[in-house]
Parts: sequence; C-alpha cells; structure tokens
Amino acid sequence: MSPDRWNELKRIFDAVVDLPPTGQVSALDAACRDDLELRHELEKMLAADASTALDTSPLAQFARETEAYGADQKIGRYRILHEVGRGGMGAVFAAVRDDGEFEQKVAVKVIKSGLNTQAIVRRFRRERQILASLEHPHIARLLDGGMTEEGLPFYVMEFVEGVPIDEYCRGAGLGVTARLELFRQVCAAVSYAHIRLIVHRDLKPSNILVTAGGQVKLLDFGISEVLSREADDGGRQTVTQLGLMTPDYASPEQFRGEPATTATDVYSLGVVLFQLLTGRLPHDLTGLRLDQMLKRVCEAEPPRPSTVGARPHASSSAPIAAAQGDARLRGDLDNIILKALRKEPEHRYASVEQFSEDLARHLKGLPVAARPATFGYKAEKFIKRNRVAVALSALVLLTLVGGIAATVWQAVRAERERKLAQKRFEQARDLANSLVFKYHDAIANLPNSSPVRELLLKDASAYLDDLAQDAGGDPALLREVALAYAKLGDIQGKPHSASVGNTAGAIEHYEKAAALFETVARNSPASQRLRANQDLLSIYKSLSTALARAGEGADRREELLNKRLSIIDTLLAEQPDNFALRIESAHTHLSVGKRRFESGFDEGLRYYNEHVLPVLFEAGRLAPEADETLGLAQRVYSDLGWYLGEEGRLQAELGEPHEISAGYFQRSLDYYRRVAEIYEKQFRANPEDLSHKRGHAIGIVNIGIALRDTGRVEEALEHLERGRELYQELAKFDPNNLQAVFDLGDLYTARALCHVKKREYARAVADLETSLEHMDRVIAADAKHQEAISYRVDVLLLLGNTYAEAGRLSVALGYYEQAGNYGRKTSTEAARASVQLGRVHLNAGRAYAAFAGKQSSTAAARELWGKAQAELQKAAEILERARTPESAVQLRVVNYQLRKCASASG
Amino acid sequence: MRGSSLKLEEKSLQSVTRLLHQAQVGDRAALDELLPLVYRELRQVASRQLAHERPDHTLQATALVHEVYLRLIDQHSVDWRNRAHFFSIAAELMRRILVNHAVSRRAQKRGAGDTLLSLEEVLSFPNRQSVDLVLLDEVLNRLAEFAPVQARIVELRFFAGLTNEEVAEVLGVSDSTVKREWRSAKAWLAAQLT
Repeated sequence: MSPDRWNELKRIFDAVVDLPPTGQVSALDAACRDDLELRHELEKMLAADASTALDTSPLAQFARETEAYGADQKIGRYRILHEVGRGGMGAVFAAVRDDGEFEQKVAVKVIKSGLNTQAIVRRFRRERQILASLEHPHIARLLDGGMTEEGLPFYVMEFVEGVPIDEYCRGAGLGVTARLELFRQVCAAVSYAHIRLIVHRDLKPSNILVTAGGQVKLLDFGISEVLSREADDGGRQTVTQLGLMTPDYASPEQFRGEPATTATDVYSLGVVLFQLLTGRLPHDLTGLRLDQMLKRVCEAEPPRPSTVGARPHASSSAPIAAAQGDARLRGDLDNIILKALRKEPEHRYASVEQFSEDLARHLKGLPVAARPATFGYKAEKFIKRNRVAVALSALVLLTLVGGIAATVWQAVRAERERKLAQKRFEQARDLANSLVFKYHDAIANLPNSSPVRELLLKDASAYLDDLAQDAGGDPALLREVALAYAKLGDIQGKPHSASVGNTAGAIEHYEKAAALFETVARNSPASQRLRANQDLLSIYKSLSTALARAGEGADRREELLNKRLSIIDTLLAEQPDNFALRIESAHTHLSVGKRRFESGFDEGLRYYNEHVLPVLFEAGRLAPEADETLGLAQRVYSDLGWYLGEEGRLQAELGEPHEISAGYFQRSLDYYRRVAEIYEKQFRANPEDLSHKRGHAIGIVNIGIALRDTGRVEEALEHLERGRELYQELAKFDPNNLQAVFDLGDLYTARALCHVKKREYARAVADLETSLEHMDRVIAADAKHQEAISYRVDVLLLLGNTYAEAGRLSVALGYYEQAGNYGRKTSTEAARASVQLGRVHLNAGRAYAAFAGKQSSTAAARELWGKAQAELQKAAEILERARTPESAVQLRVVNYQLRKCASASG
Repeated sequence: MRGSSLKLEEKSLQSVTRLLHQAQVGDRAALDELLPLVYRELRQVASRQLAHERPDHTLQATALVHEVYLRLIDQHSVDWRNRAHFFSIAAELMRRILVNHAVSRRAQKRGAGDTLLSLEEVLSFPNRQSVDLVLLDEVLNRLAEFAPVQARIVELRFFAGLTNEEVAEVLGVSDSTVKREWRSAKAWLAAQLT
C-alpha cells in the first residue's frame, strides 16, 4: 500500500466508523464509488473495529498472571482479608463487604485473563438470579459478580470454612458407611440443583468441601456453565466446551465437546465416589496427551472398584484398610459405581436421586437396581466391533454354558440381548440409509430445503463413520456404507443440482466411498463383479468431477480416468450390447476428448469426430429417445459449441480475418441450438424438475452468447433476458442454491459483453459489478469454489478491458492489478496462477497498446508503446514458465500482440 | 538473593546508559546488547511480584515498564531524565522481547513431543494469548512501511503498555491524535490478523 492510499483509507475510516451501520453503507457507497478494493479493505477494518485483541498489552497479561492482591485491597465492593489459594483458573481470596452494612465473610474468585470478560460479566448478570436462587444447606451461595479494575471477571460466594471431601474422609478416618452417608449429602445438593435445571459440570473433591461440623458444601454451582458457554452477544467463542473441565472427573461426552447434562454430573459423582472408596481414580490420566485421555476415558472400561484398592502404590493414599474396603465394595458398590460411570449417558442412573437411592438401599441391605455390567451390554459393544464373528461366538458360548444349570438363565438372556443388539445395529444402518436415500431425495427439489438438508448430512455422515468401523469385512455391508457415502458426496457437491455447497466435503465422502468400493470389488465373488465394477465407475466419475470443480488433484483425475477406461473396456468385451455401458463409455471418451481439447483445438475436434460422435450416433440408433442418449447428446453438442466459440474468439484475438472467426461462431451457434432443443424437450416433459428448468435456461443463454459473437447483439440481448428470468425463478425457489447464484453472475457478464459491443460502457460496468457480487456470494458460501474464484479474476479483467475501451486507462490498470492480486492470493495450483497472471499482463499490455495507437503526440505514444511491450514481455515470461496447454494458447496471443506492438511503434 | 540482585551494579548501569544513548542515535548493535539486560529486569520485576515482596503493589503493564526504567537508568545522568527517550527505545525492546518469547514458546511446543504443559494450563486457557505475536510483528512491519507514525503508536501502546497520554508525550502530539490514529491502526491490524 502507498502512504497516499493509506491516508485515504484512514480518512474514510475516521469519517464513517462512528456512524450507525446503515449510515456506514451509504457513506461507503459515496466515498469509495467504484473502488472495490478500497471498499473491501474498509469493510474489513470496520468489522475489526470491535476487536479487543489488541486492547490488552501482552505485558499486562504477563503482569496479571503474576499479580497478587494483598490485604485491604479492594475488589469491587469487597475488601480482601487474605489469599485462600490459586490455580489454573485464577485466585481465591477471603474478603468482607466494604460498605460496613454486613460483616459477612465471603470468598472472591478472580478469573485469570484469557477469557472474554465482557461476555462473562454480562452472562453473570443474566444468570445471577438463577444461581442465587439456589438456596440449599449444602450449596455455597453465589452472592455477586463483576469486573475488577484491571478488567478481570470475578464472582463472590459464601465463604466456606472446610476441606475437600477426600481430605476430610482421610483426616477423619471415616469408614465406608460414613463415607457413603456423606456422599449422599452431596447427591442431595446436586439433585436439588438439577430439579432447577442447573448442571454443575465440574464436580470434583476440591469443589466439595466439608465443614468441621461434617456438613457438605458444594462450590461453584453453575459457574462452569457461565464461563464456558459461547458468547452469544459478541459472537466470539470465549472458551471451548473442553476449556473448563477437569480431565480426571470429566465424562466422555465432555471430552467429545458435547453439551453437559445432568448425566454428566452423575458421571463425575461416580468418579468422586470411586475415589472416596478406593483412594484411586477410575482412569489414570497422568502424563497423557489430551487425545490419549479422550481415548482412554471414552473407550477403556474402568476397573471394578473392589479390585483396585489393594494395589501397593495406592496404599499411601488408600483411605480405608484395604481388606475391609475390598470386601465391602465387591458386588453392590462395584455395580453402583460402574453404573454411574457408563460411557453412554443413557446407561447411567437416570438421575442423581436414583444414584443416591441405590446407595441408600445398599446401606439398608436391600437389593439395588444396578446390575453387573450385563452380558448384553458387553455383547452390544462386541457386536459393534465384529458383526460376523458374533453369531459364531454366541453359538460357542451357548454350547459351553448349555449344560450348566446355574448359568442357563444368563445365556438365554445373553441370546436375547445379542439379538436385540444386532437388531439395533441394523436399525441404525437402516436409519442412516433412509436419512440419506429416502428423506433427502424427497426434499431435495423442494424450495428452501438447504438448511434442513445440511443438518441431515451432518448426522448421516456421523452415522456412516460409525457403521464403516463396525462393518468389519462384510462386503454387502461395506457396499451399503459406500453407497451412502457416495450419496452424501452427491448432495454436497454435485454440480448442476441444488447443492449445499461444500466441495471439500464432497471430495472427502467420495474418497471414502471409493476406498470402500475398491475393498468390495477385491473381495466380491464373480457373480457380484459386474455390480462392483459399476459402482467403481460411478464413484470414480463423481470424484473426478468434484476434484475438477475444486481445481485440485490433476494427477488423481488422470489416474481415475485411466481406471475408468480400463474397467469399461473389460466390461464391454463381456457384454457388447449393454446400452448403459455404451453410454458410460461415451462419457468417458468425452472426458478424454476434453483433455485433448485442452492440449489443442484440432486434436480435440479430431478426437470428438473419431471417438465421441460415433458412440453418440450408436446410442441414438439403439435408443433415440432415452434420457441417457439425450443427456449424452446434450453434453457432446455443448462441448462442441463451447470449444468452437472459444476457438473463434482466439482466432479473433490473433488478428485472423473476420470470416474465419465468424465461421467458428456460426458452427458454435448451430450446436448450441441443438442443445437448446434437447433441453427444451426435457423441460416441457417435466416442467417442475429444477434441473431441467436450469437446462432450458442454459440452452437459451448459450444461444444468446453465440448470437452476440456472430454480431447479432439485439437478438442476443433478448435471449439473455429470457435466460435471466428463468435463472431468477430458480434462485427465488431456493435462495441457498449456489448454482443459481453462479449462473446469474455468469449471465450478467454475458450481458455486459453485449453492452460493450454496443459501446454502452456504463451499462457494461454495472453488469460486471453485479456479476462480481454474485461470485462473491458463491465464494462466501463455499470458499473452495474454484470455478467462482477464477471467474472472479475474469470479471476483474473484463472490467479493466471495459474501462480501457471506454478511454480510462488508469482505472483499467487498477482492475488489472486487482485481478493479479486476487489471483495470486487464491490460486491453489502454481500453473493456473501463472496463466492467470500472464493474462493480467497480457490485458494490461493490450490496453496500453490501444492507447498508444490513439496518441497524437509521438512522445506520449512512444512511452505507452514501451509500457505495452514491458507488460507483454512480462506476460510472455510468466507464460513460458507455466508450460501448460492453456499457457501455450495465451502465449500465442501475447506473441501476436508483441509483433503488433513492434510493427506499430517502429 | 533477591536483595543483592535487585539493583544493577554501578558499572553496568553506566553501560546501560551508554547503550541507550547509542540506540537512540540508531545503533542497532546497541539495541541487541540492551535486550538481555532489559529482559532480565522484566523477569525480576515479575518474579518479585510473585514472591509477594510488595503485597500492596498492583502491577500493570505501564508500571512494569516504569519500574524497569527506574532500575535501568542512571538517575544521576542528566541526559536520561527524559522519559520519552527511554520509552521510545523501551517500546522497541519490549516488542522484541515479547516476540522472541513467543517464537521460542512456539518452537518449544513444536519440539516438545510428549512433554506436557500443565494440565490446567492446557485445558483451562486455550486462548490465553489472544494475539499471535509473531504474526502481529510481521503485520506491524508492513504497517510501518506506509504509516510509520501509527506503527510507532502501536508499538508504544501495545508492546510497552503506555497510555494514550504517555504515547502523546513521547511522540510530541496531542492525545486526541493518538486516540484517533490508534483506532484506525488497530482496526487495520486486527483485520489483517483475522
């Protein structure tokens, strides 16, 4: 940026920053006019004005972390007496209210920096009443909350003189019964809060104090909730859900970042009880990384409490004489604790009250509700791991236990549970399939369905990942999962359908599907091989399309194309009359043909004539009216129309006589008319189908473009207007339909070029800007939409060209620069980036040359010729390095321009 | 231990003063030599706070820099009575200290493998440092290319923790200018950082 540019930016920023949002928009409109870059920069700055990221000096944070409050200092209205303790979250002080009204001693907790103070304080205010309404003898009351002078959040609680519950039990030498009774006080308090829908989320001994009188007091109820929830008002995430938990006591769902529920507290209480009775934790997490902890807590079964107390190195902290403890724990207490510690929340006690009730029944010697971890429970997990082996092992098990009377009942029960588990597995699979296949298809073409579909996709994807793991090596099952992945991919990224716009997601799902299909194909018996190969063909095709759309994986695409051709050839050798295979073969040849076109027009045209058109005619002879034939014809003719038009434009750019390019344009128009006929036929047959409606629109628009190229501008505009109406209907139908947004953007560019032909530059610029807005919308929704990204560069170049033609060289140069910068910033492939950059310099060079030609003063002309040559030479340099078919074509144009320059200047 | 290392010895005090002089006239090598001295002082001030040596004292960024200033400067040297000169150099030093620190922390994290940060640290404060200082340093260099004065303001405010008024004093401009310039610079930087 130049200092002048910066000063302009600053001047406008200062002028608009304090305006209300609506005022800002119109002020920006007026100040930036057509300087989009400036406007973009300003919008970014205005959005960032609210950022507090730079408000706090890292020195201050550094200082705060070591900061200490001393006696008689004040925090809010509270005067500090002394520090009580400090930890990762912050520090705790004993204090009294300073206004002399009350002499109540309180605990003030100051939260360390790193959290969004403003949002926390706001949330405190909102929730204070709810939290303060927790009046229970075993819950420390929340009294107040606020912000310190240094800007740190703090809250104030009733001061509790006590020690953590585990320490208390140890110190007082309590036996099992006394420990259980104490623990039931804890349960009563938690239960009381749960009824008011307040979850603690961070229950652990240091939050459960016991007073000298043996009364339990729970600290920090609801606090973790306040600190963790996303800041809804600022829109910024303050702390992840993972952020405020204590790993030793956290439940699997907390590790997974899922919302905490009352079942979460049941789990943490289970851990606390485990610890109180054994002196150990159910899972030893020392020295583990977070991902290892997650794996252990979410997957490893905790040991039975009765089996851990006696281990030697626990003896120092073992609260109870090992012998007594172990005997007491075996049976009921093992079962009760393990039930609280189940991985799945729904398998735990339904409430803390039930947990406590079971403990009471145990204390009274009554039977408890908790059963040993049933065979069914284990079986379900096992079945999930290996469906096929289960049937066998269950049989073996039955045989083994069959003769033993005492265990018959359990075996029967096991068989029942096994069936149930298997049924559940199948239900899950069916549900995933219906989600993906039935429901989605049912709503796919309905207006406004995108948000619902997005949700559906997310759930389905999670289901499938589970199923894929559980499927083991069963080919039938793997195929089902693969089909479902493929479907997900279609939904996320299929071009030419109302897509939810996530090309990256589509690629991911297609790759998963392809990998599974390959496994299936390898393991399929001969009878299934045809189907397996067809599956492969179809997934390879989808994957290639998605990759092409993202502008990625050129090598992978080549590989996929070769795989497809070899599969098709094998299959066709076996069944030469298979119509579907012929069509498939034609489509594959079409892809090869396209690649040939990329390396040269003549080569491409020859390939289409020799390989593609004959297959099309063959298909037309076999089934002239079949949808497949029509679809194929439409694609072949569209391609030919497109490449002929491109070649016509290239010839014109190379300065060939008008008749030559006119010939190409006429042939292009002929092909497009045929395409439009097919589209219209399909549309008339099924006017409600959105994809046919889009096809109909495309047919008309393409004719419009071809008409423009042949010089029939008025007719072209009529066609484009009709196309615009159709596109807009499609966009209105489903506002989230990205394809419709892209199509509209494309149409405005086409129209702009008509305006340019009529020398109506203002109109052309307006249309190009509209086009740019449409592309921005697409990119905003799908940042990997390569088509839209490179289209955006093209539109910027066209804006430059339009301004240049209108006689405003400096504005034009600005657009070329913008195009270059944007292209550099967004390109994922070096070769593509070079071609783009080369084109930028080519266009700039051409603009200079055009101006040079118009100069009356020779000196001025010479300077401009010099600049034109410099730009063109730069373009040539860049394009020579790129060495792609596309760069070779552009290089021809550059060299032509250079020759023109040389002869004109001199 | 605390008592004896609190004040720099007379000899090194003189050398600090000399180095500051040299740094002020643009000697980069002098800045490099100053760096470890200032860093040591910063650490000492902070650790003293940790040890509750002066419980009545609440440490803030500005206070920290002021204190380092008091400790580093030879009070008898007339030339260095001018706080503005010191803060001007100090801001640059603080920036380098903090950025270096961030770089080495990053390297530590990458190389650490299985050595674990304290659990509470990892779990409780995923966003402890809300700004990527290394990135900010780069972006600030870019800002300095076309807006040197504003880059200076950012350095003084953000890295040295000075108030608007103090920045105004150092740069010899009005408070309101600092306020305005800081706001637009901050917005531009924040926009680049997101």
